[in-house]
Amino acid sequence: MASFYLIIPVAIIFCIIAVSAWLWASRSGQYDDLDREARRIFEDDDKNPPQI
Amino acid sequence: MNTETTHCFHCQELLARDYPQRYSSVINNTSRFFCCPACAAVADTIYNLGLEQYYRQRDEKPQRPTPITLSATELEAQYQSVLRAIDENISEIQLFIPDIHCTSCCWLIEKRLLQLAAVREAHAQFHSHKLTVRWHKTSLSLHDLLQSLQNIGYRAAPWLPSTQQETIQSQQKKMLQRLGVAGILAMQIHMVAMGSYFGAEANIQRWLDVVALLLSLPLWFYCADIFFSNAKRSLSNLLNRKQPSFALSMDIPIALAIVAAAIASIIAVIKGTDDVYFDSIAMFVFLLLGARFLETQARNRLTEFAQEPTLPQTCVRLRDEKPETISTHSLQMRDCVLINNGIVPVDGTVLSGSAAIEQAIITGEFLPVQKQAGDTVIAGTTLISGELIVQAEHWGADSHIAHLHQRMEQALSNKQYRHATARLLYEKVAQFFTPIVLTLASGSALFWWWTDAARALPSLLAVLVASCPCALTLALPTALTAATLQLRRHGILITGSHVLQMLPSIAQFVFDKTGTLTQGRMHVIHTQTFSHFSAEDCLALAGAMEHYSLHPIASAFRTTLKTPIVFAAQDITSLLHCGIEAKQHDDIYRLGKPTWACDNPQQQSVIDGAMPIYLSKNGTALAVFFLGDPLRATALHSIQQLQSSGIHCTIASGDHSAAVQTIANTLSMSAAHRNCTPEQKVSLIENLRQQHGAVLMVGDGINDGPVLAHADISVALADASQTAQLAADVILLNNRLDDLLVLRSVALRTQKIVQQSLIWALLYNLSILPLAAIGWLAPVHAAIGMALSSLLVTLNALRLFPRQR
Repeated sequence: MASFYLIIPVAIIFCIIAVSAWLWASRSGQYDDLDREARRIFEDDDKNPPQI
Repeated sequence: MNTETTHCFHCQELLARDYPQRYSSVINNTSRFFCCPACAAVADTIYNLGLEQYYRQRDEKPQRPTPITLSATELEAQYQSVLRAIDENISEIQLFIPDIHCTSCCWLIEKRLLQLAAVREAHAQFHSHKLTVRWHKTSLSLHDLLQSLQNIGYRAAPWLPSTQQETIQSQQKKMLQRLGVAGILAMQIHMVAMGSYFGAEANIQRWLDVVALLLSLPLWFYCADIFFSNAKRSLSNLLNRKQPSFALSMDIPIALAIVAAAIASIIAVIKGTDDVYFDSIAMFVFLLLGARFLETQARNRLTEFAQEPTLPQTCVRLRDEKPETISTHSLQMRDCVLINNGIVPVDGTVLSGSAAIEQAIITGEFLPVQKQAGDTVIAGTTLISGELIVQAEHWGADSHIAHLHQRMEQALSNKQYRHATARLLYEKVAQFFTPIVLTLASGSALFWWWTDAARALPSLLAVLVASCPCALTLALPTALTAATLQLRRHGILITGSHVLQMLPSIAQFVFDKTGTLTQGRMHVIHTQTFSHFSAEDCLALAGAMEHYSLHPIASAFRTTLKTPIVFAAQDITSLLHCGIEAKQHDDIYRLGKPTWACDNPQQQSVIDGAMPIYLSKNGTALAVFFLGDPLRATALHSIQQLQSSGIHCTIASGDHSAAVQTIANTLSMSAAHRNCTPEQKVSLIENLRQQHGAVLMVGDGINDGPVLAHADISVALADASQTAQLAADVILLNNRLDDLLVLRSVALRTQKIVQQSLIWALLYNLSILPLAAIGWLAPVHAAIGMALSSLLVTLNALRLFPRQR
């Protein structure tokens, strides 16, 4: 049972990482336009875009 | 002949071969045709940049591009409010791109801008039409940035959304963030709480409780702050001395339950006892946030941004008989403007000349009207043939069409306001429910305080949690969301949040005629021949003659594809007011008005509401075609069904012909109003509303914009003008009128399901309250009961989806 004293702080650290990842994703606008993202997969990018 | 010759390669505009401004350009080793040099330049730019994928992916046709007319300094001033400096070098600008039609447009814009060395970031949003660009302002001027957008066919305007829309958007985002954080924390807290369920040792249990407390802090102070601030607002309204409001928000018992449980749990942790409620609070907050999120989502569906109708930016001014092309901004009152092609740039009075003008933008009717000296023309209408010199009176933001648009926007914002302030059902319930809950909770707490102090707090919490209106608040949003998704599968797009709730109570439908009940296109409805030629041959001959014409009548004949005769373009002349004439081997064929086409026109039976067009060879009549705008295939069935379910149907049309009455008779509609201006349509709707309550309007044209914005529910078909779609609450994507029946039946079913769920939720809450008050229910059981009740309501809403085949 003593291992709980180690495991739970580790779990909390993961929890903090998950929460900050979520907040970062949401704040950087990743959930603002879901229609666009759904179709992004179909937009193939060319390897060397010409520089203008 | 290559099929591409009939459409502009870029904007897909129909091209006539004698169209004066037809350009061909070699693009990617293939010769393509364009309607104007602007389109050719755009396509050329897109191919040169290696972005031709756009043409394969797009699913909407773009606007015809217009050149920038403002100078660099004027631009800077205009865009001042949306420009901001990120650091010394990088600037950020927020633009509104009205021409974003599909996600391919977003892709094209981002790609193009990122190719510029000075551009760091570019992000285009499909729904809001917002483009955010960060770039080196010193190495690329704003003018050049906008020009590079213009070169691929997109106009830009400063991003100036309404404050209301901004608030809704930021609220939505705030709510989603809280919901996500609450979800993650609730999972952790539950994991920790498992310890006590499985009987951990006392010292481990203390440690677990402290951890649960730590994890709960952000949940209480960050995620649940919505409930606290709402409860505070409601309390301060109550204590407001000048105007006390007794409408108690449901958030008061919620906040009270969270605070009471939190304090009790903290005390338990300090004392080292087992009465902690961290997991119950976490679940409670997460479920409530989820319900609240769904509810706001269903309520505040973002409406599309308003877009000004596009008027030409330039016009040809005549000064001392010399034409010069100038920006409409620098026009002066009573300047003479020459119009010989395309969209009329100004409102004004015709000084000389004569022309056929198509005024669909104002009247909804596509047959052109003759304009001569003394007549007025309106900006935004289209000149089909002829030439006019017009004295300019109004243009730009002062034009009739811009005013029409403004009125529509105003009506729309009023409408949104009306629905936003309409109290939600559960708020009404809360008014009498909350005081009962608070009295009951404090009563039972006091009772237990006297008799058995240890049971006072659990019973207080149980009452507060049990009374939580979770299922009550979920009933409406879940049903609405399910119904909206279900309708979208059917090709019915709902943009107004009130549609499904309001539709069952509407008993009056008003229809526009042209383009709504009818197909909005001329068709040959009857052919009669006078010679040995068969009807098919005559139709084919007429089709060949009209092949190059842009006139709306020509489209009626274009459907006949197999033409035995092909005329060269130079052998065909179209005569204003009369018709079309073609020469071949010394024979003269004419198609048009009876008196012009035939030397001695034969008397013909007249078809109601149809227009006779004669075909003649050297003055002898070959055939007569009756042209009309036939009803949509589903119109008759739909109207009959609607009428049999007790709905009163009316026509309101801008058309002045007898065709309106004919159609009303065919559809056995009792009331038909013809020759209506947009203003008259609005007052018609107002009258109907005063007499028999709410009105649903189905329309399609720009002229229907204001009336659609005024109607309680407005419906537009998918091929309607953009203005009409903007003003509409419902868009029928399949252009089928019988989708109205589907919409109505789904709305009725939704109403039924919402009622069932509400009755269930109320019964559950009312029956469990006494149990909680007499202390038979632990707080955690109350929370589980609440979750199950919410689940039941959600499952009930899912019944709106039909079973998968």
